[in-house]
Amino acid sequence: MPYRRPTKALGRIGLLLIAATMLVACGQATPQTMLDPQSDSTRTIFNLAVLLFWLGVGVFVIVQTWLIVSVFKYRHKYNDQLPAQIHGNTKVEIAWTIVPAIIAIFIFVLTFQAIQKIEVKPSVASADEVHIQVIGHQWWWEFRYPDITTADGKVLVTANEMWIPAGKVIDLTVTSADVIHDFWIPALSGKRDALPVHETKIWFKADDVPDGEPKVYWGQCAEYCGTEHAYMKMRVVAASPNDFQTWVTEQSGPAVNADLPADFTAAGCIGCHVIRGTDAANGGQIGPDLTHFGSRMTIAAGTLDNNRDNLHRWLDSPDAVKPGNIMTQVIKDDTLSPEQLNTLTDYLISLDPGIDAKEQAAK
Amino acid sequence: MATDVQALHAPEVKPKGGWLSWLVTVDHKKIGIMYLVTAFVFFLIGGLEALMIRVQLGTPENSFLTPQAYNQIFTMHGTTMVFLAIMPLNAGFMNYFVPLMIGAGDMAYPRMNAMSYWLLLFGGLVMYVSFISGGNAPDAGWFAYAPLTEKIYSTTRGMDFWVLGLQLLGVSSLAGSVNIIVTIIRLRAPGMRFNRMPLFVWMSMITSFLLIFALPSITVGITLLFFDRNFQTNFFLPAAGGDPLLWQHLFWFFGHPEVYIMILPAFGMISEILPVFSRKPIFGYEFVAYSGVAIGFLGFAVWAHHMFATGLGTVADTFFSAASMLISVPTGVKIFNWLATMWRGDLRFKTPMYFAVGFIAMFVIGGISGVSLAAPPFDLQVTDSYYVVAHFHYVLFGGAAFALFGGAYYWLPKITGRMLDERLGKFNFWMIFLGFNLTFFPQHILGIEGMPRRIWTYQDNQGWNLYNLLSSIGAFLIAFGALIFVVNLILSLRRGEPAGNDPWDAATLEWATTSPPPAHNFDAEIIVNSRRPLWDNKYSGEDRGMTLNHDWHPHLPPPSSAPLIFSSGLFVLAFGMFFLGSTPVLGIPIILVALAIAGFGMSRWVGEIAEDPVL
Repeated sequence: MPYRRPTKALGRIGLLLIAATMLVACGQATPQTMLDPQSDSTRTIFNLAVLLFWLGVGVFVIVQTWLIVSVFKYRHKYNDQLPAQIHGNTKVEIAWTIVPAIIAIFIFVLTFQAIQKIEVKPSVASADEVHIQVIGHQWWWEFRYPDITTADGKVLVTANEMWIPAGKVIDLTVTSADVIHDFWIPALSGKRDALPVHETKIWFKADDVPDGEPKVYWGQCAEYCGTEHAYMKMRVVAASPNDFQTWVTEQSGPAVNADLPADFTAAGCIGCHVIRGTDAANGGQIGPDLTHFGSRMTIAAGTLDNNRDNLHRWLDSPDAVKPGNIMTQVIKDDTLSPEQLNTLTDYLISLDPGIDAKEQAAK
Repeated sequence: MATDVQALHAPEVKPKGGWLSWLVTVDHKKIGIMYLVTAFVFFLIGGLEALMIRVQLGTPENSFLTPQAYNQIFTMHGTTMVFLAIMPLNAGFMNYFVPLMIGAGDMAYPRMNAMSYWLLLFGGLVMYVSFISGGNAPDAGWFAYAPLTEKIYSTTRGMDFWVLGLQLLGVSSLAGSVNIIVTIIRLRAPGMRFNRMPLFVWMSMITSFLLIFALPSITVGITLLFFDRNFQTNFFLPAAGGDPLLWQHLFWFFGHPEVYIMILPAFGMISEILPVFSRKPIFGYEFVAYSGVAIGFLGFAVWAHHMFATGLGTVADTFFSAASMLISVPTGVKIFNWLATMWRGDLRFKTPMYFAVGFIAMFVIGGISGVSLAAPPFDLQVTDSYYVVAHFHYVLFGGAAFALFGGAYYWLPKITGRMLDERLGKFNFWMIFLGFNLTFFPQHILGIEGMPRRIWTYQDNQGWNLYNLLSSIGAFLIAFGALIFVVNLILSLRRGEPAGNDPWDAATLEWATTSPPPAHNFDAEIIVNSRRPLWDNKYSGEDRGMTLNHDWHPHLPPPSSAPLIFSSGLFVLAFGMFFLGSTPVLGIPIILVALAIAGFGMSRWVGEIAEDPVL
């Protein structure tokens, strides 16, 4: 823990108190809060926010006190004498033009430093850096690891769950396959728009995982992107470098169950989904890659926990789980027979090569 | 008290013509009333949409609205409140009071003024027709980010209605702004120098200039969008080389000045109300006026602060951040000057004063959160979250809407000739004040806890339940407050106390005539001698504030149906354009008919000008 100045600590205590009140008030965990920064960038932002918060409190107190004192002190008091007709005082007015300007310049200087800190990516050895392409789709997230090659010579692709090594620089290139989305993991990184024409860049470095267990962070699309903007969520798993390596090795392999049911083709799933190492290896790329589906924490972009019951529910009626999502164009309520449902559910659940973060997610 | 104030009042003339006279009126006061009524109806509709939003978000995974319906409702809530409620409410007060406050008989272009009103009504109708045409209202947000607005992603015709409605509203606002500016420049009473103009007139003029410079940008944007959607162009479609970021620049180059377009008239109203109820002049008239000018200029240099998350790069981030923070300086000056106006005053707490004080208290909160949003690093966390929703509602509801309520309680007695009830008024204020804070303060916290904007629902596991519930309860308190206002208004019209000419013991010229004023506003020409003509005549001695010239023969143009006919032509034209791309056999005849109607209206208009040289 680096040394912090006492004023800063005081500021933090203040905000933590507010945070604690908020937690007590609702008695619920808030997995997407920005009050619990877990990377250098978000900590820089948080420290700036603490400063802005207290300056704001200062201005608030001055103005509201002045206002309230005026209201009580100069309230009409049954004498009809006109108050002194003061038209102004140039010196005083110049003063209260200059003082806010000085405060604004002060805030700006600190803001400028913070911009430099979070926007300029530090140059580190390539071994300490991981490149990931983030692609927003209506309404799910695709993550591509351009430097990691799979068993069949392709780029490693996963969906809605991004694994990263803790303590290393994560260099993200963000784009979109359709409309504008926005990548946001409040604990790790501020927002970056996913635009369909330009690539945008953002980087962060997640804190080390102290107990070696993978740590799960929540995120969500923040730019309105159509019908199911609300259910375009994602998880980021920060794992120890060793766990991350295990994950990479497992995920690069083909599907652990190559016995693709015929229903996957018959029901049309293959039109949108890839399962490497099976007959669906060259399936469509409209929907998420399902190669290691069973290892993921969630279904339908963070909408449901990934377990057999939920998967059954999802395949039975995608529109009931996530109304208006694109899979409903193919899979209606009565598209799949009960047998097909069971076969596909069993098969997809079986696609779990080993390491996953479901236990951490449950905590 | 000076006696010459009394001499201004003519015996009341019985209005003739019944309700039909409203269709052909060119009287700025009647047009102002039509603006206010229309905009208030849209305000209530936008409020109902807000209630539906809050019902849906009151509990997690609520199914009160489908996502499709929710997206239409929030799009129309934003569009309605911005373009059909706050802007025309401001325009209504400007229409009614700018000529009165500068001692003029009417607006510079009375017929064009009527056209501005009709185009507002028709623009609103075009947007709302979308609801009944198969339930396909616009669904891409009031900011309408491309390419979500393109035909492949927004498949209903809603966005076409949105574009066409907005085009009509744009013409309405442009014409209205030119009218206000020319009226202020040309029709001020003798002696009403710029540095004697009431601050509401100052802010009206700045607002009108902002509109003239900002509107072309969105007009270009929506025209390109309409071509994309209807004539297979690709201005914003990335697949064909178009650029969605172009839309964002065009939109926000309009959109940020638009914020000041909505708030500057509110600053003007507060600058009128505070001195009257503090019984003092405004503190630092020049600083308040010129800080408004400064805000107007700076307002054009900050648009990209809405786009920090698009990755503008450090240079642009730094520039737009600095410019945005700079705006806090003139805004702060205004707040300090208002506080100084109250200081050592003799404060009379009538309802308008409640809203004015409430405005300062709430607007400061919106200002503080605004400065935090101007810091790009923090903005990257809270932009597009409920923190922003809270911020701009503190500015536009706690700011603009509070001022408008204050303005209504202050000026309605002049318009209707009857007072509003004070007890109901104060009840109205407290309901809105409590409801507003209960609705929007928790939204700061929701944003900080990671709740994005524009989501139709959220799950139980996010920890957002309590604050959303509080917010939804608050929304109903606001609705109740608005209902009290409606009741107060109806009671006032039925049996309100007669207002008299000058119920608040005010300072400016609109109180130097009857309530409501006669068609020609004043029976004598006013020669202005001070910044507070009425006040100085009352308290400094006869003729110190103003003198009267009774040898005055104001000329008013006769009623005209030309503006209504011409505007109807444009209204029909919107439907012709709607069908032109999809069903030309329908579109082309409608366009021809529309042009015929508009041409007929225009020719009548020109004929009338020949007889009576006023536009």
